[in-house]
This record gives sequence, structure tokens and C-alpha cells, in this order.
Amino acid sequence: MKKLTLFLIATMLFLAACTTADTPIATTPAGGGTTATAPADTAGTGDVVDTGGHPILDAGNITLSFSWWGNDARADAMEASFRLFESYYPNVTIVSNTGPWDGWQQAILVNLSAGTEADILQVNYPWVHNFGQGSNVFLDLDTVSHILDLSEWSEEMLNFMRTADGQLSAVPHGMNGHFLMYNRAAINELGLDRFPETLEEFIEFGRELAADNVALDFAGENRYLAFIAAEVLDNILHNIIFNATGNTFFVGNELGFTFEDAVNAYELFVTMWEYNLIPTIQQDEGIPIQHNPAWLDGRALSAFIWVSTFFVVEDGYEGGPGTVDDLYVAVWPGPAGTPGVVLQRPTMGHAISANTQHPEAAAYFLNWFYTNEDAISAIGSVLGLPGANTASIVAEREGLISGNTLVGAEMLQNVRSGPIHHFFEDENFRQPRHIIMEQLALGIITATEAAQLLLDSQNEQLANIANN
Amino acid sequence: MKGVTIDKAVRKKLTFGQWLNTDTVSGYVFALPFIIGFSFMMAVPMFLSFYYSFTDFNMLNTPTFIGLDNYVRMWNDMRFRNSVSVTFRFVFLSVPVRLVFGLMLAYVLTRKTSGVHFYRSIYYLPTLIGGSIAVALVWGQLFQNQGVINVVLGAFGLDGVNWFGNPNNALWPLIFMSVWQFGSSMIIFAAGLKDIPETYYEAAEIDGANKWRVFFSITVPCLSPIILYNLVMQTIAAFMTFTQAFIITGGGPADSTNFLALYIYNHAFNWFNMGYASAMSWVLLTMVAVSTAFIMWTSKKWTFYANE
Repeated sequence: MKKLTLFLIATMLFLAACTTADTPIATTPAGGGTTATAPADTAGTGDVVDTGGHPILDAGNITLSFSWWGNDARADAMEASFRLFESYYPNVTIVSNTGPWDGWQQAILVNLSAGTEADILQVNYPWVHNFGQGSNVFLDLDTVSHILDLSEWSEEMLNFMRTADGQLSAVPHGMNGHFLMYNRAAINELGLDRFPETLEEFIEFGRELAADNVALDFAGENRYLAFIAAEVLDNILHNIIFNATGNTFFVGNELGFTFEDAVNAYELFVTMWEYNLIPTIQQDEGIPIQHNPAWLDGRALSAFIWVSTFFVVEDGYEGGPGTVDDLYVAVWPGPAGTPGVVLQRPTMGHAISANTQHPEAAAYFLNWFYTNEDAISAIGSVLGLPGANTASIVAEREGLISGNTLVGAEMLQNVRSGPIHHFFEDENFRQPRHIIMEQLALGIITATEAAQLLLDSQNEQLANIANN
Repeated sequence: MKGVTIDKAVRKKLTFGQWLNTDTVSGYVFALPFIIGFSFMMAVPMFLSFYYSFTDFNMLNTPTFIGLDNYVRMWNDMRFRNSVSVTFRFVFLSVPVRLVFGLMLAYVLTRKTSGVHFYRSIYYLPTLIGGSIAVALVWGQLFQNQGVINVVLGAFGLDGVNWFGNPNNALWPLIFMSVWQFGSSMIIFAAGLKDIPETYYEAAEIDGANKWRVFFSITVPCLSPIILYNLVMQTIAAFMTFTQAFIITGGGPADSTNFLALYIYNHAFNWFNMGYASAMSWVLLTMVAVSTAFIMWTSKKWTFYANE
């Protein structure tokens, strides 16, 4: 019994020692947290720990976990920024929790469900709304706005990340939109010297181009005016509806179009498939554009892609017959008399866990991440176009964003545009649209039937949301 | 070693080692890994999913009881009905072909010829690497429009087939892939074939039976308990097929390969309808149980046991 008692006491002492090594931070006084204070002795060793002089980070050794998805280039940049922060604030350790995009949403969902998510999370735009089905599952960033300077973002940008109850779930990293990226060399090779500017020209252009296509059930050696992957057809649908109505797909909690608008949109798709100016479902083998033979061989004269992925497509094109200088960015064309359009949504965002022990330290880190010039330089363009004021200025001044990506960034601000509603990206809305589009492409249903199914499926989901 | 029998009168006098060595305790100790694993990895999740099937659980909310709404929703969900249909089509097409293929090769590979062990190992290899993601990716490439399969068809002067772009064709590569993984049933068939007494074959030979007659009158009846086992196991596995569709087709085109397991996964983890997904899981379990019970019921008419 005595041994057992001693063992329990020793265990409790050990656990207590472990706990003090990771002390929750003290509440920051109102009015800021920029006052320098004396470095603290938090380790209890008698040595002074350098906290960088910020009171939020003075309370002791802090470990912040940061979950994010991405590729190797992003890993290098993110780790560089974390180590930079640690060099500024040696009592803070940033731990990466990372992986590829595939399966990442499921992993985060499970973490959130179990309350084991990271302190700071890179989040996809729809998560902010879908995870809580309208309620916020992250920390309301308005509660740490005395540390995280929200004036770095426009209200329009922040509104994308506000849930139905007005809470700010995340700050957006930047904005994203779909553009047509033309291959100028391939167009010139056909004896053409300009790009289609209206929808009518676009269709006529593609019709002539595809007149010699012989493989109707295969990609074969066909030429396409635009290579539009199956999963992006939905975004084209949105563009067509916006061009026709001036409304986004959803306006508030209602559809922004009528049955006739939907019929016209689907008929336009049928025309594009019939003329073979975009690949049919049968011809699309799901090969990413940067690896797709049609694009690399110059048989696809354009591709419809996110501005955030321009660099991926450009890198892929280095192996093709032309050069990156041959690539030209344009918006999806509107009917004659209507300017083209780019619909926008945040590339991604950063949220803070509602369960974090260090909400203010996490907010401080995010503020640093978006406003510190060295941090912005370290990240470069691996997270896409930065949207925060300081980050945008630094990125442009330092040449971190250049070429077509810079062109796209400027066009995002200057061309006719509208917001992509979060309902549009909700899979409960998107999946029925995807199936309808496939059935239309395969000739299983007509444009009229597709339009009716579209309205039924989207209205049904809207009703579900209203009932909840 | 014979264990020590527990006797209340002497229990207090046992040392820890002796107590551990009693029949009852040692039995529980040996069974403990399974009991823990089954309880926490199977029983608890199953009971929870049954409870969730009557709620609107989305993984992040507090589940609210909604009665039979999820089960009623299934009745009106055309995609659910389609996924059940696709799953049954896959089961009915892949399981018999897989069993016939496995039995055929087992029959050939149990003949007393040189190198038979080598060939048996080679044929078992696809099963070893199983339905992994890597294998699914390779099969996906093989059946692409310009993949190896169409190239081979072209070499024989045949038109290529648009396997994954046509809803009428998309299920077939997944069936072929399933059949290709015949190794486990082949090995069990081979073991069963070796257990059939040689005297039966000798008697048939004396009676002048030809090879087909021997196969259908001796081999198949004697092997029927093994066929039953393989049929049940392969049917259950086919109902749960997920990886191929998840990796290769994503359920498309036009839901033509949207297996029920894939549909459940999407509802649970991509569309945040865990309650509905749980309800569908119980329907899938019921489908598997009823199918298994049906097979067992019919087996009385076609299985033969030597001791009966």
C-alpha cells in the first residue's frame, strides 16, 4: 500500500511538472498587447526566457499547433515562416500538422468532432459554413480583434467567412476565380490572330476549330477551344447564369435564376458538346490539365482554371511545345454587349480552434503571419494571391506575384464579378448538380429535364436548411 | 500445462502467479486482446451508429432524435436506390465469376505436375496486394481510353472501349479487378480438393466415368461445403466493395458505379450527414445478413457432407 501511495504521488508530481511546461497564457489587457514587458522566467530554472517582449507571449513556453494541407513547395514555405516566428519569439514553438489535400477534410472533421484539432487551422471556404451547418465551429475572430488586425481585409472579404449568426470563423488568405488561360502559340499556329471576345464568337470559333474532330467517344487527337474538366463544368454553369441574369446562383437563401434561365444554360452546354468545342464527359479522362496531353500538345487552345493554380499549369507547360510566355489570361466571355465575368471566393482561410488553450497567442501569430514582411516573403505565392493589405503590398513590391498570376490578380479586382455563395460549394447542393450535368452530357436527359431536376434538387436542399 | 481449478476455499491462499494460471483467468487473459478490440473497435461503434441512425448527427452537432426520418428518406432517395441496384449488380456478376475462376485454377494447380507450388504462389500474388489504392490506380490506368487494354484490343483489330466514360461500361473494369483477386478462394478450393478421398476417383474410373462426369458428380459435391464458405465470404466482401470505385471512378459516370459503401462514405464524411449514413449502414448490414441467410437456407439443398 505504501508503495502504491508513493507511486501515485510520484505520478501526480510528474504530471504536474509536465503541465507547467505548457502554461496557458494570461489574458491580455484591453487596449492591445503591444506594450513591451520584461522577459519572464517561465521555465522555473532561474534563467530568463526571451519572449520577444510581447505580453501575450510572455506567460511561458507555448506550443501552437498549426494544421494545413499542401504540397512540398508549401511545406518548405510554411516551415520557413514557423521557424522565423520561433526566432522572433523563442518561447513559442509552432508544430505542423500537415498532409495532402486528399482526405484532409475528413481528418479535420474527425479532429473537430473529437476536440483534438490544432490551435490554428488552414480552412477551405465551404468548411466555415458546412461544418457547423450555419453555426460557427471555430473561434469567433471578432473576440481577438484587439490582437488580430481585421482592418487588413475588406468587409466584403471578411463576409465570406462570417457564418449565418455573424461570427467570423476565419480570415481569408486571398481571393480566387476561374479564368480561361489561352495558348497563344497554338492559336497562331491555326492562322488565327485574336481571341474570341464574346460568347457568340467563342462558340463560332470553337465550332470551326472542332469541325475536323473525328473521335466523338474518345479524346483521340481532337482539338478543343477550351479544355474544361468535368468538375469545373459547374462553375461554367454559374458563369452562364450570372451572365444571363446578373445574379449569382444563390441570392440570400433563394435561387438567383428561373427555370427558363436554367434551360438556356443547359442548352448552351449541349451546343458546346455538340460542336465539340469542349470535351464531352466521355472524352474527359480526368487527367489534370498540367499533365493532359491535349493541353501539352497544344490541341486544347485554352483551359478553364483557378488563378491560384496558374503556376501549376505554367510549370506543367514548361514541358510542352511552347513557352509560358505563350499563355494568355482572359475571362469567361459574355454574350455580345455583356462583359465577361469572373466569380470569386476565398482561396482558403485561417481559423483558430474554439478549444485552443492559447487563443490570443494564436491570434498574435496570425496577425504576424499576415503583416510581417519577412513572413510574407517566406510564404511567397504558395498559398495563392494574398488578400490582406500588407501582404498584397509586400507581395507586389517584392515581385512575389508575377506574370499571369499578377494579371489574374489585377483582373479579379477590375472585371465584372460576383461572389460565389457558400451554398454553391456545399456538396449537398453540388452533388445533384454534378449528376444532372453528367446525365445531360451523356444524353440521358434533355436540357429541359435537367433544368427541372436542377430546380427541384436545389430547392429541396434549401428547404432542408430552412427547416433546420 | 493443466491449469489450477478455482476453489473458493483455497482462492485466498493462491499467489498472483497461481491465480493467473487458473483456467478461468488465463482464458480471459488470452481472450482479452480480442475482447478489448471487439468492444471498442466493433461493438461500441456499431451501437453508436445504430443510435445515430435515428438522429440528425453531422459529427459536430449534438445529435437530435428524429425517429425514422433517415429510413424514410432512403425510400425517397433515388441515388440510394440506384446505389443498391449497382451494388447488387456487382455482387451477382463478380462473385460467381470469381468463384468459378478460383475453382478452375485450384483444380489445375492441384494436379501433380512440376512447378505447381510456384504457379500457386504466382496466382495468389494479386490477392496479397489485394484491393489496395495502388492496385486500383493501376487498373484505372489500364482501362483508360488510351490504356493497355484498348491498345491490345486495337492490336487485334477491335475498336477500343470507352470504359469509364460510358455508364454502360464503367462497372466492368471494377468487376474484372474483383475477379482478378481470386487468390484467397483459390487457396481454400485447393485445400478442399486435396481432402477429397482418392478412392472416389478410382471408383469412378473403374465405372468408366469421363472427366466432366467425375468433376460434376464427385468433385463439386465433395467440395460443396467449401463452395458454400467461399460463396458466403465473397458475397459479404462484394457487398462492402469501396476502394475500386472510390479511387477509379468516384462513383461515376452518372452514378453507374456508385456502390452503397461509397455512397455511405460520401454522406458521412463529405456531405456531413452522419445520421443518414449510419441508417444506410444498417440497411447494408441487413442486406448482407439477409443474403447470407438466403445462401445458408438454399445450401441445405446443394451441399453435401460426408458424415450425413
